[in-house]
Amino acid sequence: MYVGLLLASLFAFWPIMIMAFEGADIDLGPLFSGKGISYVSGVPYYSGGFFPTWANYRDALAWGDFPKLVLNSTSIALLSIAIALAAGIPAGYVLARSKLKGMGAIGFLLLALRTVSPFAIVLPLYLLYVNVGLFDTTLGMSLAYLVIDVPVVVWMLSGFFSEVPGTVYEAAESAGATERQIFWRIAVPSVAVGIAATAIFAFILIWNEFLMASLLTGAATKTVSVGVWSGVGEGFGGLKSANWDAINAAGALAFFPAFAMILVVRRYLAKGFSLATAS
Amino acid sequence: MDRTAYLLILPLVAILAAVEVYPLAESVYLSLTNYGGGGAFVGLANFATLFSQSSFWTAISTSVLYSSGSAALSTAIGILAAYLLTQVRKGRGYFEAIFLMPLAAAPIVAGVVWAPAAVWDDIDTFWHYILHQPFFNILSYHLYFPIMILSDSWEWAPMMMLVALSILASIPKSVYEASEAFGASRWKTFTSVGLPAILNSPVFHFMIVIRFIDAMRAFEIPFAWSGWLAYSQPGAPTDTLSLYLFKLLLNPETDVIPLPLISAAALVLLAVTMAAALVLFRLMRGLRKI
Repeated sequence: MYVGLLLASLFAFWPIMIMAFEGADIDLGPLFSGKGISYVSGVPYYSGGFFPTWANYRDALAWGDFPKLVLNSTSIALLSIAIALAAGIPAGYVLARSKLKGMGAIGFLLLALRTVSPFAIVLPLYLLYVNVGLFDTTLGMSLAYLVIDVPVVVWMLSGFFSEVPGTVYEAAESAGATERQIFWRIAVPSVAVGIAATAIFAFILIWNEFLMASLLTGAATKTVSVGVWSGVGEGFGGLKSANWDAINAAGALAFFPAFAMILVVRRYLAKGFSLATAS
Repeated sequence: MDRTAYLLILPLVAILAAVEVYPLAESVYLSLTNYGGGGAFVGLANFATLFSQSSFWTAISTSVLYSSGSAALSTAIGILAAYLLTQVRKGRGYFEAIFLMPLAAAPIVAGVVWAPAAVWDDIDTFWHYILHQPFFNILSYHLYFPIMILSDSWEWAPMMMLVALSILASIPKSVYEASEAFGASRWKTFTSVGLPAILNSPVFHFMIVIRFIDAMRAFEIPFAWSGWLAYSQPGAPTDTLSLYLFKLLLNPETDVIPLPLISAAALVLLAVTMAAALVLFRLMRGLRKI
């Protein structure tokens, strides 16, 4: 039983641990084969040092301006989530509470947004952005990321709103509250925790997103996940051009904040990933 | 309520129009013209060109194989992890936190940590220097393709686990107690009570479809691997549809970026995902009122 648990934990944990260790240049390789990348019939094998060094973490923090990448990712994510919440809170409320004509169409569009290939969205956006000067800007990237956070935000929030017992709304109505008051004074405060969890969940998705960011950002707004890869160098040079330790160090630095946030919202993760269909 | 409701949903409709309807309409338009060559309407010529390229069909079959493999494997690992967690008496929270770790890793990081030089490096060291076997040939398709699927499953199995756990939690305790009272082992109880509950759950079906669609869009892990293997041209065995499109965009075989071709391919991908969204929509309707 516990053997199974330990094996499963190792499976989940080991690659992360290797990444953090390689970042610190800890490796058993040098015991056998010496340091550096060696090629055995064209296949690269990397072998680090035996004793830990913080140099790569220090490098990664300086290299590619890691703090700036973090700032970019964070400001893009926060702006995008703010817009998504501004539209998603009222929309989630309506989806949870009323059955209007056309809601089915909106629900379908939201699901389609969740499943659409970024390419069908990104190419037209790219052409548009280059024309109107939104390419490589925080605003442009935040708007593009609405593709990712809007469906999640709306479904999660509508899930939270529908958990508020109907009797609460009925009591407010019979006490003479207006629709506006019910929304602001009753509905929104009672899902406040849900809104926070939704925002954090959306933040993790955006923090980890790679494809759209690598196509729509340039030097000015490069995000963390793109930055991690930039140690590999240009194009598809294989491992020869990779600054292997620094990639791992940057990967580890990007991982830990996301893991902390995962732990904070762990109770709501199932809801987020299943678009609130799982309780 | 009705007028207010329409007002409240208006911002969402505006956003959907701007970031979904407009770009998709533009994609359709691009795919029907020869953008960059005068912009004339060419009908379905781009699609004909696309369908005549063998690299496109390679990408389709790679994506389907990758997605089926990843959906199946992440489901299996997720259910197994959920079973293990339900058996823990003490410290379940810690194990659950460890199991959730891959979810926090960016997919590009999953491409990095499962790379030949990272995880396999140590296995290889052990295999070669201690067991005195020849090095793995990581360039072999039969080795790296399953590893790509495994990386993807590693990343997303916790998601399946979470949903499986929420389904298991909804089974009344008395059912388990009854089963144990009849002397059934824990594994037997799981296979006769928990497992069917998970596999028959509409929520879980919904998740499997989502997992398959997400894997159809998979980009980062195949991208990282085609980096490790130095496959720069479209049509490589690592190329899923998204990666194929990416390479057409950044490493075109000619000097002209084949935007209409890419739009056409993106539309094919769109048609696939729309069909999948329709399936999801029907599943979701069964789960909750929309």
